[in-house]
Amino acid sequence: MANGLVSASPRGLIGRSVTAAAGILSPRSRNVQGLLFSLPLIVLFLAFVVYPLYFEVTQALDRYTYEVLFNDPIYVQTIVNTLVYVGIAVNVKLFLALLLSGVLDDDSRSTRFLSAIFLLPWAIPVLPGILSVRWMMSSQWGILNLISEDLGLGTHHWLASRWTAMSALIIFHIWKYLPFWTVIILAARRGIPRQLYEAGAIDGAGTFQTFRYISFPLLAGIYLICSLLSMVFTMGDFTNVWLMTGGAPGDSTHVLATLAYRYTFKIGKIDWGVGVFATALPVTLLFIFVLIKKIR
Amino acid sequence: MAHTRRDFLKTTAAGAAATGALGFPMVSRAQQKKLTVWWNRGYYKEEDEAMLKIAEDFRKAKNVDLDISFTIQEDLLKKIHSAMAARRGPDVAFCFYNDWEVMPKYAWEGKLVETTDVINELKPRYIEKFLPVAHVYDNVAKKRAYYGVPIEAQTMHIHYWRDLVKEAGMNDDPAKIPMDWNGYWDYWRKAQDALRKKDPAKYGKVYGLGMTESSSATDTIYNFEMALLSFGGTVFSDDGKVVADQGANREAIIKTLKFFADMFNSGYVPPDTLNWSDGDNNANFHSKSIVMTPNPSVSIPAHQFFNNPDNYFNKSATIEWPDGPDGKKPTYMVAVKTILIPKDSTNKDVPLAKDFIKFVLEPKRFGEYIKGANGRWFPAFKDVAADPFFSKGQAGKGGAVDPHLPTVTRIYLERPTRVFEHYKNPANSQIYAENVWGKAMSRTNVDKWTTDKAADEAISRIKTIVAQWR
Amino acid sequence: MNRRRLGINAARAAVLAVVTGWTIFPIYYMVSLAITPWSDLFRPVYFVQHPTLDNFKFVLFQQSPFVKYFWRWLGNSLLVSTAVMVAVLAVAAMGSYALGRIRFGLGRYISGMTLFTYIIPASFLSIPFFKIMGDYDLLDTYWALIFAMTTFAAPYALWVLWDYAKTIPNEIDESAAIDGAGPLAIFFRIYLPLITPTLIAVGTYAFFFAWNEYLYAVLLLQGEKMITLPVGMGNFLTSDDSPWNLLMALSVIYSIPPVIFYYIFRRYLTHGLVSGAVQGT
Repeated sequence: MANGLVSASPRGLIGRSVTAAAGILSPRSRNVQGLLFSLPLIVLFLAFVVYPLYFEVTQALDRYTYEVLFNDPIYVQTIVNTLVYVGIAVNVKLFLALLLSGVLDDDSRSTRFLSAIFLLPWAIPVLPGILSVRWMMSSQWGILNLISEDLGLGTHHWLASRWTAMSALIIFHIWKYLPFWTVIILAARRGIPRQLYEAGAIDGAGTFQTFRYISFPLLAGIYLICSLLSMVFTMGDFTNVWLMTGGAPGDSTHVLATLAYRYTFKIGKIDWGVGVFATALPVTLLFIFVLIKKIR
Repeated sequence: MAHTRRDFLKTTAAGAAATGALGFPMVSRAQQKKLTVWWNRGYYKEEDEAMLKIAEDFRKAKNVDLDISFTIQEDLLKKIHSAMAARRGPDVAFCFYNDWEVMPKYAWEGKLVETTDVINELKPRYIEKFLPVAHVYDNVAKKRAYYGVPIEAQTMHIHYWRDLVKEAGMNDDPAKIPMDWNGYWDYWRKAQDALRKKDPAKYGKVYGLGMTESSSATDTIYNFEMALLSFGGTVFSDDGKVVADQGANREAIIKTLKFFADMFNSGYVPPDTLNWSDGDNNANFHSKSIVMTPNPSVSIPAHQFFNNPDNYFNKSATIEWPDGPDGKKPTYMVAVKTILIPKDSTNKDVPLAKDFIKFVLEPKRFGEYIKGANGRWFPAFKDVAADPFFSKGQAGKGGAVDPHLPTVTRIYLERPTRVFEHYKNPANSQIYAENVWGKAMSRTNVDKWTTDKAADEAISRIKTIVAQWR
Repeated sequence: MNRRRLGINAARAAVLAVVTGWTIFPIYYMVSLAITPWSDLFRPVYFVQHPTLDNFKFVLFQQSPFVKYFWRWLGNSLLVSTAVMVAVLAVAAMGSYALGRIRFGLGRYISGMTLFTYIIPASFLSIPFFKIMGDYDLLDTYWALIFAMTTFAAPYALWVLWDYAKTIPNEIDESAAIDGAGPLAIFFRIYLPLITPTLIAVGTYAFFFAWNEYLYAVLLLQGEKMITLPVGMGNFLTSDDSPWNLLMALSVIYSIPPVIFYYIFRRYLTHGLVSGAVQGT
C-alpha cells in the first residue's frame, strides 16, 4: 500500500521530503486540513442551527411575545404539562432501565430471547406505535376498555381528560424508549469488571448491597448523563404528543413543540410559534451546556 | 422586491454565465401570460375532474400558461400561511379554510387584493345573504370592502334514523315531527325511552340525542352558535366590537350553556360526547348508537349514498333545526367558501386572476364543478342553485325520493341565514381555534361550574383575544 | 442457597414475562387491526374474528382516497432517506476523519458544535426553520428536508465512525503520510476502506432516521404527491371517517424495513454512543 502512494509526481516528491523532514505536518496546516474536512459540518451547523436560533433570539427580545404568551392560559398549562411529562417520563423510564439492565445482565437464553423482542418498540417507527396505542385507547372501539371491563374496572375515556391523557403519553413514552436506554445502561454495566462482583460475593454481599456499593456508584455517571440527555430530547417531543392527543381535550395536553405548531398553523401567527421556543431557550441552553460540560 | 432570494441566487449565477458565454442580450420569447392557481382538493374525484376541465378550457380560451395544483385543506392552509409570510403566493388561492382562517386575517394585514369589482359584476347572480363573508376590514387601507369571492356554502342540518323512530312506535315522517323548541328536543328523548323499553337487549345503549359537546370538535362551535341564535344572542356587533358582555347577549349565552348542560345531564346524550372529535358523531350515527345528530356538513348522508343507498333513501332523513323558544323560525349559521387573490403573487397579474375566477364561476362550468361534490356544497349563485339537482336531490331506484338534499336546499333558500362572524373581526379565528365555547361547556358539564361563571370566563377570554389581536 | 436461587429465578422469569407481554402488546394490536375488515372495526375483540388481507390489497392497489398516492409516498420516502443516507455518510465520514485522524487544535470547537447539534431538540428549531425555508422558496422541495435531516443525523453518525476508527492504529496513517500521501489520499484509500463495516451501519441509521421523521416532513412538504409515508399516515387523522384498519395495514408495511435493519445492526449502533458517553464520565 505504501508503495502505491509514492509517485514520481512533484507533489509526491515534495510531500515525501516535507513529511520526512518534519515527521508530521505542522499544526497550522493541520488546522486548515481539519477545517476543510469539517467544512460540510460547519456549513450545516451555521445554516441550519445557528440561523434558526438567531430568529428565536430576536423573537425572544420582542416584548409583545411575552405579553401574548403569558396571558394565554393554554401557554401556562403547556409549561406545566411539559415539566410533568419530562420529569416523570424520563425518570421513571431511566429508573426502570437501570433495574431491567440488572435483570438482563447475564447471557442466558431467556435473556437473549427477550433482548431480541425487547428492541421492537425502538425499531418500529414512531407513527405506527402511537397510532396503535391511540386507537387502543378509544373509549368506544379500543381494546383497552374491553380489557378494563373484563377485569371489572369499568370503561374509561382514556384520552378524554387531561391527566389520563398525559399518563397515556408518559406510558407510551416509556414503552417506546425504555429498550434503548436499557441497552445503553446494560452496555455500561458490562463495562464493570467482573472481579468487583466476585470480590463482593466473597465478602457476602447480597443482591441489594451489590447494587448499592458496586454497580450504582460506577453507573452513576452515565446514569446522570443519560437522564439529562433524555430530558432535553423529551422537552422537544412533538410527534408523540401530536399524534396521540393533538393537544386535546381542549388544548390541555400540549407540550412546547405542539403548542408552537398550533400557534403557527391553527392560529396563523408564526411569530407566536417561534416565541414559544424562544421562551424555552434559556432553560434548554442551560441544560445543553451542563451536559456538554459533563460529557467532555 | 419582486424576486425571491432563491431566484436572486439563481439569476445572478445564470446571468453571469450568460453574459460570459454569449456577450449579447437574449431575444425574448413570445410572451405567454402565466397564472398560478392553488385549489383545494375536493372530497370527490368528480369535483377535481370538473375543475381540471375548467382549467384546460381556460388555457385554450385565453392562451394562458395556467399552473393549477390541488392540495388537501390542512396542507394547503400551511402552504398559504408560509406563502403569505414569505410574501410570495399564488395568483389565486381557494382553500376550504379561507373564510375562517385566511381571508379575515390577511385582509386585515393588507395582503389581499380587493375584489369589489368582481362582486359587483356578479351581484345580480349572487344569493346576497352569502356575500358578507367576504366583506372584511383592511387595517392597512383602513376600509371595509370585499377581499374575496364567495362561491359555495355549508350549513347545519340534523339527520335521524327513520327506522329507529318507527321502531319506537313514533311517526317518522319529517313533516310530522314537532318543530317547536321543547316538543322537538323531547321527541328524541321519547324515542330513546321507547326504544330502550321495547328491546333492552338491542337498544339498551341507544341515545336519542347525538349532540356534540366536546372541546375538541368544531361541530360543538356550530351547535353552540345555532343555539345561541335561537336564544337571540350575538357575540360581535356589526363593526366588529365585542358585545357578548352586554345584558341581553350575556343572558343568551348563559341560557345556551344551560341548554347544553341540561341536555348533557339528562341522560339522553352519550356521555362520551364530551370527548368527541368531529368524526365521532358520524361514527356513532353510522353504528346506530344515536337516533339523531346535528352535523354541519352532508358527510353523513353522502357516506350512506355511496355505501348503503337503502339507508340513504329509506332509512334516514334530514330535518331542520327547530323553531326558537320565541317561536320564530331558526336562523342558520352558514360557512361560505371563498376564493382569494394574494397581493404578493408570483405573476402579479390581477386582471388575469379575476378573469380566471369569473371564468370558473360561469353558470354551466360552475354547475358541473359543484354537482361533482354530490351535494356537499350549495352554490352561492341563484342560477346554479335553480338546477333540479338541488331541489330534487339524488335519483333513487324505483323513483325513491331523496330525503336529504331538498331539505338542505330549503334551508339555504327559504330560511334566514347568517354568515360566521369572522368577517366582522379576524380575532374570531383564534376564538374558534381555542374552541372557547367547547371549553365553556366543559366547565359546566365536567367541572360543574355555574353557567354564569363559565359564561363570564368565556366572555373574558374573548375580550382578551380581541384586545391582543394585531 | 438453592431455594434462594429458585426464588430469584422465578422473580426474573416473572419480570421477563411481564416485559415481553408489555412490549409485544401494541404491536400485536397493530397487526390484528391491520387484518380486521371494516365491518368488524367498531367491535373490539381479543382475537380477530374474520382476518382478511383486503386492507393490504387496498393500500397496495391504492383503492381508497386515503391511500391514493401510496406508491408515490413510498417512493418519496425512499428518495429522501437515500439522499440523507448519502449526505450523512459524506459529512460524517469527513468529519470523523477530521476529528479523529487529523487531530487539530480547532477540533475542540468542531466537536463541541457537533455535540450541541446532537443535543438540541430538533423540534426547537422547526418553526424558524419553516420560516427560513419559506423565505428561500425551498418549501415543498426535498432540499429543505434533506438539509434538515442531514444536520441532525450527522453528529451521532460521526461519533459512531470516530469510535470505530479508534480501533485503527494511527501508524497506518503516519506511514502513508511518510510515503507522501496527502490527507485526501489517506482519506479515500485508507480511512474509508477500513471503516466500511461501520459505514454500512451508520448509513442504515441515517436512512431510517429520515424514514421515521415526521415533524420536519409535515412542516416542509405540502403537495400531496410530494409528501412522505408518515405524513400521508398522519393525514388519516384529520378526517371525519378514516379507515383505521387501512391505516394499520399501512403502518405494518411502513414498519417492516426499519425493524429488519435495526435488528441486523443494533450492535454497531449502541456501541458508539455508549463508549462515547462512558468515556465522558
